[in-house]
Amino acid sequence: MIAGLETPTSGEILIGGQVVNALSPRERRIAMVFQSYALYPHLSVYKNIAFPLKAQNVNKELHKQKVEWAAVSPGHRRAPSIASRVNFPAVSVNASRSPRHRSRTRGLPPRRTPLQPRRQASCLRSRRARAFHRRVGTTTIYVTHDQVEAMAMGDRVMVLNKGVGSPARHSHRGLRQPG
Amino acid sequence: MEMTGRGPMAVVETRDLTKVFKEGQLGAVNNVNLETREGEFLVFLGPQAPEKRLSCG
Repeated sequence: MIAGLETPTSGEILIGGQVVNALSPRERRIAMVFQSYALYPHLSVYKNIAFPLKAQNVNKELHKQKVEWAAVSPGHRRAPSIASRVNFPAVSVNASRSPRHRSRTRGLPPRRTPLQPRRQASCLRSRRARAFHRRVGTTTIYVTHDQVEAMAMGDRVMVLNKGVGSPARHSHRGLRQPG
Repeated sequence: MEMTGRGPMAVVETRDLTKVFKEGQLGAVNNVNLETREGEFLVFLGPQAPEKRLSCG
């Protein structure tokens, strides 16, 4: 509803002090990233970042500067699927060779455990997203069901349960006293 | 519900935001008031994904 993809039944949404209920998502001039990122698989990371700037007719030199500044990984010339494998090899390799896992398999060849790499990737993603937010300083609303991620990333945490929101609290108190 | 942010200016604010899909039923989002300040990182945390996504989407 904040981004404008859904219409509220009642209530007001204000962005920059202006009621935006009647504005289209484009007119609200905010960005939304889906959980699955929705990247263009046929474009490189660089071109994925550059695409909205190109659509806004930002001149080539300026959008090159902006993309170089925003690109957090050295793999930004690659396709998103390859870049993510390049950036996260340590995650899967470390997880598959963890001492705990080795002792359970008793000398069998290392096998990937599905949960651990995902957890590590999530921590890495949180840290990167937080670091990127510190650089950019944009106001951000982040949706998650992961309490650890919420505590690690948020300045404030708002618990939304069964459609009812609790007051947003500073992340270190948010989970202890959600009401 | 009242939420107070930090800093000088509320960038995104909702006032009694409600979404009801079927009349007479409890809304998916009920009277949610939030306020985020400039440069803040606010996290929506909850067990059910649709209501959080709905509030943002």
